[in-house]
Amino acid sequence: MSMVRLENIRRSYGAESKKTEVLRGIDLRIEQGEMVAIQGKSGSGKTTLLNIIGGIDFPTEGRYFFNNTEIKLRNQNEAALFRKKHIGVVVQHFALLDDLTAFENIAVGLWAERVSAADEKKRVYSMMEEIGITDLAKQYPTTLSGGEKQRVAIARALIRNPELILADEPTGALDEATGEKVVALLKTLHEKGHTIFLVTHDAAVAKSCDRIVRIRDGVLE
Amino acid sequence: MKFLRKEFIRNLLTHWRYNLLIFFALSVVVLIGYIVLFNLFILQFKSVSYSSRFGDKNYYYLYMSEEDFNMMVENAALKKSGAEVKEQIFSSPLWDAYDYFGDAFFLDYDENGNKQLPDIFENGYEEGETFNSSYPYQYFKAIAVSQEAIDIYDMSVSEGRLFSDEDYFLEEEHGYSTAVLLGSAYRDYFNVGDIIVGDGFNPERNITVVGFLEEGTLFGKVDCIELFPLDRYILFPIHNHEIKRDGSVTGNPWVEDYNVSHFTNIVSKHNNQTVQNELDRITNAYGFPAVMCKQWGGSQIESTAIVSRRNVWLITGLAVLLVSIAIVSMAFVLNKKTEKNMPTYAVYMLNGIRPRMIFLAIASEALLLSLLSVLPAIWISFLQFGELYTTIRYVFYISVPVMILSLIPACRLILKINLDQLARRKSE
Repeated sequence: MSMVRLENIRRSYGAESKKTEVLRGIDLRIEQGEMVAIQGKSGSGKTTLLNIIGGIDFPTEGRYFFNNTEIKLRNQNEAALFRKKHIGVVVQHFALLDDLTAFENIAVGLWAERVSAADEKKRVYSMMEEIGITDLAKQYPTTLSGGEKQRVAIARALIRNPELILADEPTGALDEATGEKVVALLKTLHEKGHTIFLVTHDAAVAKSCDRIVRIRDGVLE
Repeated sequence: MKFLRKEFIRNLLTHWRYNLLIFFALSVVVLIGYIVLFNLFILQFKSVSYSSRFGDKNYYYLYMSEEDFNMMVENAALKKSGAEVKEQIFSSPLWDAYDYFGDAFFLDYDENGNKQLPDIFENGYEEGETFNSSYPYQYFKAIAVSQEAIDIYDMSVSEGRLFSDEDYFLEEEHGYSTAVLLGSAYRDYFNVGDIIVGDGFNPERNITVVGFLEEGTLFGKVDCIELFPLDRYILFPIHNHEIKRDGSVTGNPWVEDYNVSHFTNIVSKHNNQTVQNELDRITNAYGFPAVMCKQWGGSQIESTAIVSRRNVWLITGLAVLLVSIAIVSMAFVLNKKTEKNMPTYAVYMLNGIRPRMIFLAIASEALLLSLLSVLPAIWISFLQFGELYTTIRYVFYISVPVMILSLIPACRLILKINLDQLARRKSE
């Protein structure tokens, strides 16, 4: 059974006369436990596709099934609820909150859930241990390196134990060595059973995935 | 709830400069808004209540300083001349004078312990202060007037008769029975000629219904800001004399002792100064202590004397302008603060927190600021007027709507949030 199934997904922007079609009939399946990379030139529609899978953006046409259930998101309230239940998101520039410590940034992933303070602490430390950043707990993002920031961001995305992790250029803002460490981390998570869908320009990152899909001008090759 | 608590604290501390600005802006809005309301109240009072209900007449009550009053009571000669001074006051062509005081009538509960008449007749009913069952009697609205008041207020009856000259005498032989006129609402409960045995009279007596006032008969009293209907009132005559069984006649000590001040009211087309000059002329001629006149409506009337109609409009206009500027500034600051928070809100939403929870967090913080921002206005108002209840009510009428209005642009900003664009931005 496919975790994600997209059927003829289209996404366009602008008024009818000046319509820009970014996605033009995408059909895609992501299986449970798979690690899939999507590659393509800038503006080819790869981030838009990731956004639609994560409920960050909504398709103009087409059908989206998650675990065989059709997903019809009408607004950001429903989309947030969908992400809360199923999706963890990692973005290129980490999106950490500078006024919170690394511990608190990770805990943000649990703020929408009914979790006691003690349980929250336990789960965050357990996640930090898994990712190997326990010593960063009390540090603020401004004092962290790029690799550390991305690890904190990944920990935040994983804290709710989501079924699917979406990563948009997870190594895009990192140097080569740090990027490799982050990819190794994602690989480890994948080996533990997480389903991962990532957008990348980096061929080496893509090669570490089970499958690579390529997109050009809004169409999968 | 956890998100609300955490975000509330985070936002309050992180953006304390913005919050301080909002607090000051809202405090100014509330303070100025309160001044506007206060001025409008004065204006409303003067232009609507006073002019339309009181017409073109001025209503004054007369009083003496406590010192002068005591001197008059203790000095037999002065006390005697008081009667003549009063006569002069009553005969002056510059005004119409009458005596009036608030009276009371009590009725025991029936044998089953129930009220004999509905609450609407009870003293304080309109203010929600009806007597409860812990009292063994009902306490009714009543006033006592001298004969002149009947003419001045153009009273007439729908049934029965008005007071006759004899009704202004209390006769021991007739058990001090007193004639009363009842307001129109009493028609469902009594008839002309009914004798009602009340409680609390000294000496004990009963009252006899001689007539019912026309519905909507108006009257006024000290400190009222408009004339009010007597429909639920019992109208007593002020007794000038008592006739004893042996034929001797004594004056009513109440009316004699408080002869000029306390009871006497005058209605005049003349202004305060003219009335006062005439009063001074009369009292000076008898070497009598000064009798002052004061216009009804108390402090509100005094305020209107200081703040002319034109000034009220000017102050109000200026205040409205300042409030508008303050609201726009506050909306701008709130908007700026929300704009600064947008990447944070995007992160929250990416992590499963719904926009409605973010609205709630912003609204909670705004509510706290609204509550805090009324404190300066309350404090200043308390220093000025020495009372809190009215101020608190009014400042909340201002602070909460103003905060809601100022929040609209910020809320619109969140509704239009572009999650994708914000998520792609670098951490700020």
